[in-house]
Amino acid sequence: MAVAFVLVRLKLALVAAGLRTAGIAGLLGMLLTVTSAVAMGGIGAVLFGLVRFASEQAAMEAAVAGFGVVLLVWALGPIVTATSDGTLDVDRLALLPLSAPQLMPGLLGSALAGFGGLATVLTFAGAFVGLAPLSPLAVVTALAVALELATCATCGRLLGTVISGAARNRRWRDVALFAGPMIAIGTNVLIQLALRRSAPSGGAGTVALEDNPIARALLVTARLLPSGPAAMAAGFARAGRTLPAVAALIAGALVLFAALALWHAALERTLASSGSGTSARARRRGGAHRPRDLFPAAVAWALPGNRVGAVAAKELRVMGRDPRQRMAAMSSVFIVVMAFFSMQDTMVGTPRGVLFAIVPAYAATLTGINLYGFDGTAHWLNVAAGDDVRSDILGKWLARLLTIVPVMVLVAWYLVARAGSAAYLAPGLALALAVVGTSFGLGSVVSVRLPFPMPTSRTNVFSSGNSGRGAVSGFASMAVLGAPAPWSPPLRFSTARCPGSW
Amino acid sequence: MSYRERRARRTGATDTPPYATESIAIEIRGLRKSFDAKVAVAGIDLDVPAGSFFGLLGPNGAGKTTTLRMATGLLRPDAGRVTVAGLDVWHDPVRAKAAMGILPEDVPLFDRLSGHELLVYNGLLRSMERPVVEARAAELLDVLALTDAADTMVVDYSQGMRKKIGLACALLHAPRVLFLDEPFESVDPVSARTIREVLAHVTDSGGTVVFSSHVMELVERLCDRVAIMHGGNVIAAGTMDGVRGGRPLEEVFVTLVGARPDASGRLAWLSPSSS
Repeated sequence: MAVAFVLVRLKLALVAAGLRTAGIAGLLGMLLTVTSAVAMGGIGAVLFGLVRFASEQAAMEAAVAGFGVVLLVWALGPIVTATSDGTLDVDRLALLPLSAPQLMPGLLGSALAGFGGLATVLTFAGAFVGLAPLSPLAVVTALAVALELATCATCGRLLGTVISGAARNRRWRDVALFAGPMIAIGTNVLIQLALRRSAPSGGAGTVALEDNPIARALLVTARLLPSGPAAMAAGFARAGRTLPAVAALIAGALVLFAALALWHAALERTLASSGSGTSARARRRGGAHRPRDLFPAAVAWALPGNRVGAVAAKELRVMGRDPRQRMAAMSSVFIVVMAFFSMQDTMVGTPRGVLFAIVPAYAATLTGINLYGFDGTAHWLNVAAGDDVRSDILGKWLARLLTIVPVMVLVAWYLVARAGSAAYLAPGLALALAVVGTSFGLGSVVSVRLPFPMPTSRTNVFSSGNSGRGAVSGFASMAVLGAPAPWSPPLRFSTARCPGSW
Repeated sequence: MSYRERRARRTGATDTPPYATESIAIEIRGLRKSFDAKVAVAGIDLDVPAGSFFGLLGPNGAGKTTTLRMATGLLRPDAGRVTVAGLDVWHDPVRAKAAMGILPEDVPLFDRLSGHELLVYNGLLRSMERPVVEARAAELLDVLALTDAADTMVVDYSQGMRKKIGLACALLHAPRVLFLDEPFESVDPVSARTIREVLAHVTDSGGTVVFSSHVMELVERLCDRVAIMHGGNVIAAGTMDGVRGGRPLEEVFVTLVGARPDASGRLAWLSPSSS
């Protein structure tokens, strides 16, 4: 247990060191992180607490869904948010003369000793309040909640260990960085679709799960997650069904044991292979070969052969290769898809629905609120070549324009086809371009005034080392770009023309 | 025979200061930089004659990297002035940067570009003509043994390959002055030899090379002039022979910087016989 205490103290020391060295921006970021953790934990606790007033069936479904969501957050959160957890750096752990069984209690403890742990404990405290019956079966609820906490931490560490091991190879790391958020976004899309389809007209958001196949499928899936048995134990305890509750609790304990065994195996394997990972080998080509051009062939005609063109070509090349940028692009697609679903009934198919073409424009330009973020420290090359900020920004926006415009035109064309009228085509495209222009201006200012290097590590997907600066920059960027846009003239006009659609 | 001696034989240079009558490639006056309370560079003066192979030595934290970053226009100094090839780095940055090539210590690059794409990008940033960029990029990749990896993303390069592609970026526009921060660190012997030969070619062609290093033997072998920094100050500067004064460079360095306490007779527990 001494090792466990050392690792927990290490985690707390890392947090404290981050506070000491982060500067004002870092302190603000840390404050935002703590506030977010307490707020999220508080919201989770209140939501779970409200289950106390629900029926037994609803309580069971809430427990299954809620515990499943918390588990997914634990499993995918570190990948989606690229948050740092230096205690799971296999390069460092491998240096310690410790076996996996010696490390595991400490790693579990350090997983819980942080802001995520704080939010989860708060949430599960609410779960106990909401689910515990006023009978001796409350003991089962308490055990189920504790079991769920341990399962969350174990599954988070299991996935993290597997990914850390795989991520030692650059190609696998790229896959991990892209696949994790994609799973999270995909799940979110399914949940949104389920909620949308289950909301009865005029029903003030009341969810009728039994009528919704997607929601039912999600609930079944949630029961099959490692969090399922513990959630069902709590649900059965709430319903006063002792035997099923105890059986589910035992099943949950077995699931936890299996997860621990898998994690043990993954940790042993990762520690033994630490440092042996390699980057993809250089591709060898024999004979005379003309190297690939910097300028992508499809858009080379649109790129000038100067600094602006070079920056645009670089952006386009990197956009397709950097998993973090692919992720940002997919997030924009996600926004468009969700907006499309929310407007399908009111806008799509009507002549004025063509105004919807502004949404992809706005979503795509969200990738431009931190123009230098993905350049990071490599930006010195531009500075060393004679710092020409105007050309660099023009090039970056030119690259985005070349990706945005085809999407805008495609969406507008589809909407015109659905509506059977091109009456709003010109205003729609004009508004879309106006949105792009507005976003370009605001995005440029934010990018220059509040640049923030995106986390990057060649060896560890869990190592970002940015100590809260991202939170500050992210909040500021979203506030500056997001706040005025809905009230900007193009969007106001669009909203006014389509009442009830936003 | 060392590079320095071979170079002296080729160029006809002697041990007498060969640059007494030549122009100054880099002139540093009163350069100062602090990070909060920590003084990184304490107002240094330094002259580097044109055509010299100049070594900047110093222990960790001596201020070498900070000096190089300020001299190349990548870090704004608190005070002082730097001219490169007669151009003030901070008042005429575009022209000054056109005259210099830079290789930073950790070589951060756009690593999702291939080696060839990175060179073309770098050339176009510097407003070079596309055909010239293509021709020079191909030749540099060939000389630095990177042709086979021209289409490989830099993220997949080894450390030595990263140093070489960084050096290619620094050389592409044929700068008159090269600034290299620890160019041989983490580089395998084969890549190091290639880099040494390229740098020797630069100085043979009249260019000036300034590089920082911890490796005394390397500096002694390559450089004809040297400066030693310690605690943000230049504590010795001049020709290699002038600074050495007939002693090995390492001995001079340790004497100037201050030797650590003798470890002999201590750490007895490191002996295998102790438990």
